Amino acid sequence: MRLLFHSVVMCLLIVSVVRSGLTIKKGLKQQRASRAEADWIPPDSDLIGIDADGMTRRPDLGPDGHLKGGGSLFMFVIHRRDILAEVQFWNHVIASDTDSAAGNRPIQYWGVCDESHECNSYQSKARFSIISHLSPYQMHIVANADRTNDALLYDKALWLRALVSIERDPFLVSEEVRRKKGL
Amino acid sequence: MITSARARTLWQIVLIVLILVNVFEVCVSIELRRQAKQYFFGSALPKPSGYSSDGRYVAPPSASCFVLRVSSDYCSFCRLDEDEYLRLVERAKESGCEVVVLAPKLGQLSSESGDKGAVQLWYIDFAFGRSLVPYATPQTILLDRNGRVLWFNEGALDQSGLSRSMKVLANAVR
Repeated sequence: MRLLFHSVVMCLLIVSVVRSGLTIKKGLKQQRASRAEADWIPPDSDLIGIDADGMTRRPDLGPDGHLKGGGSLFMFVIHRRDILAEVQFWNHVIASDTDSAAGNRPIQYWGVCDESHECNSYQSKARFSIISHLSPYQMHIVANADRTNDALLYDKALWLRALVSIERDPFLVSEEVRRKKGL
Repeated sequence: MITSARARTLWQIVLIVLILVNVFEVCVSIELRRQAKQYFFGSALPKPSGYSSDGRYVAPPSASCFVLRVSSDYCSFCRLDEDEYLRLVERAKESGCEVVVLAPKLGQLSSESGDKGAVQLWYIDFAFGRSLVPYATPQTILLDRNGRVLWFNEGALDQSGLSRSMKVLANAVR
C-alpha cells in the first residue's frame, strides 16, 4: 500500500515537472518575441519636437513637403553625463559631412537630450539642434535606438532609411551616414 | 545487489529532487509571468512631465498618485470604455491624484478631447519616453506618488478592470 502511494506521488511529481517545463518553454518563447517587439523600430516618424529655446521645432521642409534640398534628417541621443565630449563628437561628425556643406542633399542633425532640459545650455556650442522633448511615439523610437547605440537616419519623406551604428571615430560615423543616405 | 535500505534512500533522494525541481519551476513560472507584463508592478516610471498642446511646459506635479491614459481620438476602443474610465478618473481626483492624458503621436488628441481637468501632454522627455510603451491605445496606468506602477490595463477597461483599479487606488491613498 505504501509502495503504491509512493509510486503515485512519484508519477504526479514527474508529470508536474514535465508540465511546468513545457509552460516555462512557452513563456521563454513569448518573452523572446515580446523583447523583439520592444526593440522594434517602426519606419514612420513623428518629427516635431521642442528645442533648446522651448519652441516647437519642425524639420526644414521644401515646398514639396519633403526635407529641404532632398536631404535627410539624422537623429541621435546626447547624454547629459558626458555632454561636452558628445557635443564635440557630433560637431566633428558634422564637420566631416562635406556633402551638406556643399549644399548637396543636406543633412539636418537633431540631438535628443537624455535629461529633459539639461542639455539646453549647450546649444551655443553645438552645430546641431538640441531637442528636449518629442511625441511619446518618436521618443520611444529614439530610446530604443539608443539602447543599441544606434542613431536614426530619415529620408526626405521622413521615413526611416537606416539605423547608423555609433562608432568611436566621428569620421567613420559620417562616412556611414553618407553611405546609407545614398543607398 | 541493492539492499532495501539503499533502495529506500535512493527513492527518497529522487522524491526530494523532484520536489525541488517542481519548486524551482514554479518560481521560474511566476517570474516569467511577472516579466510578461509591459510595465512591471512596483517598477518606477518618471513622474509625468512635458509640454502641453499649447506649448506650455508642465513640470512633474506632486500628487498622491497619477492616472496615466494613453489615448487617441482615432481609437474606437478608447470611446468604448469612456464610462468606466471617467468613473476611475472621478475617484482618482477625489483621492488627490493627477490625471495625465497622452496620445502616441502628435495630432491624435485634440485639446477638447476627454476629461477637461486632465493634464494633456503632447511632448515628453527621454526618460519618460523610454519607460512608456506607446504602441497600443487605450492604456490606463495607475502610479503612486513616486511613479511606481500600481496597476495597468491595456485595451478598453471593463467592469472587472474598473473594480480592480478602484481597489488598488483605495489602497494606494489609504
